[in-house]
Parts: sequence; structure tokens; C-alpha cells
Amino acid sequence: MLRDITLGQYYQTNSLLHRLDPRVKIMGTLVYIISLFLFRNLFVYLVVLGCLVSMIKLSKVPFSFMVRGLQPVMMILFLTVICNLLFTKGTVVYSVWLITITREGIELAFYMTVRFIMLIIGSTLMTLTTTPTQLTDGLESVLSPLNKIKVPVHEVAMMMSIALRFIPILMEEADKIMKAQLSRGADFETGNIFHRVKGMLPILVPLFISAFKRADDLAMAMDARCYRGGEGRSKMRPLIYKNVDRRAYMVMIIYLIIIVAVGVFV
Amino acid sequence: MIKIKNLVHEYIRRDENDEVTDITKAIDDVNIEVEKGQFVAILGHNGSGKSTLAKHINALLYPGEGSVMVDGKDTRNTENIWEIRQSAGMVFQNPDNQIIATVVEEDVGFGPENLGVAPEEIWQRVENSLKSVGMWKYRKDSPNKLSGGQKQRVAIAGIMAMHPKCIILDEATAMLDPKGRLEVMESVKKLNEVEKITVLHITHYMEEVIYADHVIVMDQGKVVMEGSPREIFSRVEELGRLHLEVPKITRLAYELQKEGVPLKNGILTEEEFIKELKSAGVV
Amino acid sequence: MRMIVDHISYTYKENKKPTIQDVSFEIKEKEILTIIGQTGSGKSTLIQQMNGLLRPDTGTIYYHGKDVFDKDYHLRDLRSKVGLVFQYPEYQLFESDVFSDVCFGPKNQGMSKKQAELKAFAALRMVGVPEELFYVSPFELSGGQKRRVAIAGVLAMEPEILILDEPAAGLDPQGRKELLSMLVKLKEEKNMSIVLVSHSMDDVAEYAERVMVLRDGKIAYLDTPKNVFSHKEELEAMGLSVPQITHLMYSVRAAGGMVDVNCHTIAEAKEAILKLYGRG
Repeated sequence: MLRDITLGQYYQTNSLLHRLDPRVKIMGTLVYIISLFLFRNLFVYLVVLGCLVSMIKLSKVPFSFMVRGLQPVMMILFLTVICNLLFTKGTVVYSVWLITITREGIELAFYMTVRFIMLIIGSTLMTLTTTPTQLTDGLESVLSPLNKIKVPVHEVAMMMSIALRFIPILMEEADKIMKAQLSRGADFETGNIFHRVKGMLPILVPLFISAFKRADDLAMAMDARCYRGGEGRSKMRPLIYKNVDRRAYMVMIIYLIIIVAVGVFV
Repeated sequence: MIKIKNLVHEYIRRDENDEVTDITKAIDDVNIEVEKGQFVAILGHNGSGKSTLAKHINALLYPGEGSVMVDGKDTRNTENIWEIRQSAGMVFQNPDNQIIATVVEEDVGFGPENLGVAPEEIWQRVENSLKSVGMWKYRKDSPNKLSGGQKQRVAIAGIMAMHPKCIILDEATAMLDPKGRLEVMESVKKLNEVEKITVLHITHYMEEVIYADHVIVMDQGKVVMEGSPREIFSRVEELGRLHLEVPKITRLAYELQKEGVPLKNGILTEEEFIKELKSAGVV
Repeated sequence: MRMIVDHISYTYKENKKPTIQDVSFEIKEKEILTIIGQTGSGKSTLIQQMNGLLRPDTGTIYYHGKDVFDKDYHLRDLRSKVGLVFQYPEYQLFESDVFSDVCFGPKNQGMSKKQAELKAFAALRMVGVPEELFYVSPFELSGGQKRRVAIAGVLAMEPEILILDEPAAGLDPQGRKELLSMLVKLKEEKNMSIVLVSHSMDDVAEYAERVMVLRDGKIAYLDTPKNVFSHKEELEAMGLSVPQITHLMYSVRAAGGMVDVNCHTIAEAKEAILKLYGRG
């Protein structure tokens, strides 16, 4: 059923990575992404790959789950590779008809692919080991300095967690409305683009109306439960750093130093 | 606990030029008093003003005329609203649209978090209130996987965790199947009896009124009947005129009375009915 | 026989256990058939198959003798003859006024504007929506009125079979009574077959000619309300119940009163109790 689709695809198990504070994991992912883009050096990538593999081992999440995160972006990856191969100028290594492939093009395409795949797998690892609630809590805390420049961090985090709850409900509702209109003889499949877009109205209009009604109801329910923004609110799971989290930050710093050292000297 | 005095609430419709086109009195000069620990049912067909009334008690609406006092606090005074909402918790009609979190226990913790309760105490409250409605074993589940009745019990637990003095059920059983309705009513009855929570149950299901010790019937924004369930249900014809229906057993007893069978007025339960048959010596 | 459901089974992709298991029955002309069963017993899956929204894994459905899942059969033809009203159907309204919304179905059937409007007019009349509401936005109506408009939207397609999932859910007693009597009227005046999914045993006892009890995707009983409600213990074991009045009669019997427990309505029970008093 549609209801069971969860965003963020959390994988339930007990590992060191699962137990880490979400802020550590968010910062860690950030450091990892930076390390990917600092140097274009094969040895750096070997170090990064080594770290990634050991993190995956630590997480106890089956490797197949990481690959799943790659599937939706395969098309984009493929297109960038093609573009890089065809449109990069430099020393020609191969040329036939209008197609010329350069040495620089191959290099660029290779690095792009490596960076891209490692980027996706790394961030998938974070969402696989962190529950959506932890993730929003963590983001709220990490981004809290932005409060000073009037960014409504708490509100954005609250919106994210409400979206997580209501997206499955609205998806199921869309399915139900579509079936209802189908049984009234609606046709969503034939005709040109214009027709099809117009044909979607009987689904979209009721869906929007229902979403607004739900938002209205929810706002009232939150009011009735004394919700008045982030101020004065406590947390049932306050984020507190433990020793293991401090050690994780140390590991991150050492990691960055090694990356820089390898990038500069090797 | 709740004191409503001469309350009037008008819905004003305006056209594009902001001219008033229509005024409907959703609540028209209502006086109600609810004692601590009471279980009060408010009956009425759709559009009788009963839901508007509920929103006044939770300070979600403010009186146009008259006043609403909840636990000694006036809803007109804006400084009081958070205390009023904490002491008079509200459960709404649609189970899906009042659960905020993606995990049951986190949703129950939402209210106490808003009140700034310390974490250890929140967990204690979450455990107690989930246990009090029999939902403790579902604490780690996603609300989407629960039935309607279970969702409403989670919503009630969410209110209980705020340590209210009074719970208002605003047609909270209207969207449930009979089984779900029974689950919810039994949880609420237990809270009323064990935790001494004042309950204000707004409904159009007559069978649920038997749980109450006081019944208020509303029609067109006015209180038209008031009394114990038995007193109310002995007025079968009058209820019929208000488009309400007495429970089937009460109706049967009433029909038998009309045939000259000596039965007491306003029979509500099977036990009472059989007791009457026994005292007449026919069973 | 308008519709014959022939040994259908269905399993949702993500489930292992079949939701519908080897179900066969038929729908007669001019009858009210109610379907009861606990949540998860397969009711909503079954009615979606009868409307061609879901295709059974095995078995098939015949409508007037034709296999509706045959590749030459157009499911849209089936859907215009077998109307399906979902639970809370008011959530499917989308047009800017009541009348155009009801015209949506007939227009999809390929009718001219004029024809569609005639059908819409007749359907709105049938469900008792007053003319002064025809051109207001459906979103300004009361809950009960919206429900009627949504049902009119299906009726305007002039179905022979009308399937409704809990059509009275959330309505007050008055609205509930009006809606159910409307269904009886449709059956009587338009010779329609009504298939009603219901949770209220009292409504089943009062309105149904046949009752189907679903348990774990199989038909447990398919019989007259009288016969079905004589299985009180079995029904209660399934998480279902008997009508309130029947329950009372069982209790009277248990207390030693020799009454016929097969009473489902107030009128029947009245006669039975009067007999106890040596009258009637």
C-alpha cells in the first residue's frame, strides 16, 4: 500500500552509526562532501573510498540499500558523462564524424562519475542510519545559528516533519480520488498533452481542497495542544553529545588532515 | 469546571464589497454549567451549533456576547488562553488530521513539549497516558498503520499527557466504525471514572449518551433539553421532532408502553429492560 | 442475473496473503445486497473489482453474460453501468458549481451537453437537492448535501448497479435515514441493484434483502438477514455483531423468556414481547 512508503528510507538496526548523534552525522556528511571536491587526485579518492567502505561496514546496512539510492539518479549521471565526453575541448584521442573525444573529456567524465556516485552513497548512508525525526532535530540544531539572521529554522524543521507524516496520506488520497473519477468515466490516458493536463484537474482540485482542509484542521489541533512556535518548547529527546560523538568529531578532523596531506604531497 | 453564561456566537457572511449579507447565530444565548468530574454529553444534529460551542471552551473561538469560564479563567482574557487549552484538551473529528508526529510516542509527547516539560517527565507522561488508553504496545508504530479507533485513542493520550482537568470530544466518534466507537467510549469512560477527568462529549450518536451522567440537547444554537439520560430519553416524541433518535431499546420500551405494557420511563440498557420483565413476572 | 462474480482471487503485490480468495456470487436485478465484514476483510478490494478498477489474479466477472476482463471489453462501458460511490465521496467534487460537477460523468460517457444536463437534472432531483443549490459552489454546501451531490454525480450516468461504500458514514441519524430511504427508492423506481457496504447491523437488518459476510477474503455467509443473524456467536467471533434488538432478544431468552430470538426490527420485537405478556 502507498501508506507504507516512507521517505528517507531508514534502515532499522543497531550499529555505531545508528547510535551517533544526528548532528555528528550531518557534520560528518558535510566534511565528506567537502573532501570529495577539494582535490582531483586519484590517491585522495582512494583514501575517501577506503573511509566510505569502512563506514558502510560499520553501519551494518546491506550494500544493496546504498545502490538503491543510486537508481533514481542514474539517468542524470549518464547524461553528464555523455556531455563531458563530447563537449570538453583538449587533446583529441578519438574522432569519428562529428564526435570527438578528448583526453580531458575522459578525465572529467571519470572524476564526475566517481564524485557523483560517492556523493550519493555517502548521503544515502546518512539517511539510512538516521530516523526522519532525528534528521529534522539534527538539522534544526545544526542550522540554529541562522536564527540570528532571521531564518525561521524551527518552523522549517516542523514543516519538514509534518510533511513526512502527511505525504503518505495525501498519496493515498490521490489514489482514491483518481479511482473515484475513473469510475465516473474519467480518462487520464488518451489525448494530447493539453487534454491530459486538463484531465488531471478532477484529481488535482479535490486533492488541493483536501490538503487545505487538513492543514486547517491540523493548525487548529496544534493550537489546541498549546503549540506556539519553538520558544519555550522542550524536547522529549534532547540532543546531548556523548563521548562517542566527541570521538567521532576527532576522527573527522584527522580525516580532513589526511585528505589535505595526501592531496598536497602525493 | 466550565461555566458558560449567555453565550452568543454569530457567523457573519460578507460579499466582495465587505457588506454583510447574512448573519447566522450558531450559538444563541446558551447557559451551561459543568461540574468537576462530570461526564456531560451534548447532543444535536449536524449544524445545531454543538461544535462551535466546543471551540469556545478551548478558547479557539472568543465570545461575541456572554462569557465562557474554564477552571475559573475567562476565555476573553488572551493571557489565559494557554492555561485554558492545557486544562481543557480537545479531541477532534478527523483522526488523521490531529496527529502530528510520524511515531505514536512522539505524537503523545508533542503537547508536553509545547508546555516545556522536562524530558524525563515527558517520557513518564507518555508512558502513563498511552497505558491509560491501552495503546502502550503501539508506541513505536506509525500512526498511518493504526485503525480509526486506535488513532483517536492516541489523540486522547496526547491530551492526557498535558495533564488536563477536562477533555472535550468534538464529534470524535463520528468517523469511526462501531468497534472504534466502542473502544474510544470505553477509554473515555475509564478516564472519567479512574482519573476523575471531566468529560464533555459532543456527538450525534444517541447510544453513546448512556455513558453520560448529564445530557444537553442543542438545536439551532439553543439548549432545548437538559437532564439525566433517563429524563431525556423518556421524551421520545420530542426528540423525534428534533431529528434525533433514541436508542433502539428505549424505542422498543416506548412502543410497548404505548400498547399499555407497564414499563418505567426511559429504559436505556438491556439489564434495565430485563429487570422490568422480571418484576412483571413474565420471564 | 446482472452480474456474476466467478471464483475471483486477488493478492496485493506487497502482501503474501491473498486479500480476496475464491469469491463467487451474483447480483440480481432490483435487490439490495449488503456486504459486512471487519476492517481488512477485503470489502473495499472486492467492490473495486466489481467496478473494474482492480483486475482479479484468477477468476473473472461477467456483466450481462460478457466477460468484463476480456481484452475486447471496454472497462469504461462497465463503469458507466456499475456505479461506484466511495466512502466520503464529497472529496471527489471539483467543479465550480454543483450542476457542472454532476455533468462530469455523463459527459465522459460521450453525451452531448444537452443530454448530459438532462441526466444531471434528473439525478439531482432524485437525490433531493433543491434547484436553488444547482449553481452554487459544491464547497459551500453542508456535509449531507455534498454527499448527495456526489452520489448524484454517479447516478447521472444511469447505472444499473450502484455500489456504495459506507454511504452514511459521518451523517447524523436524520441524514442517515434519508439517504438509506433514497436508496430503497432507487431500487423500487429505477429497478436498480444496490450493493451496500455497511458497518451498521441495524441498517442491514432494516434495508437488505441479502447479506454477504466476508471473513479474511472469503464469503462466510451469503443469505437473508434473518438467516445470517441467526449465527450470533460466529458473527461475534469475527468481530461483528447482530442488530441491537436481536441482541436484546437473546438476553431475554437467556433470562428465561421464551421469545423468538430471530427478531431484528422494533416491530418484530414488539410482537414477541407482547406475546410474553400474553397479548398480541
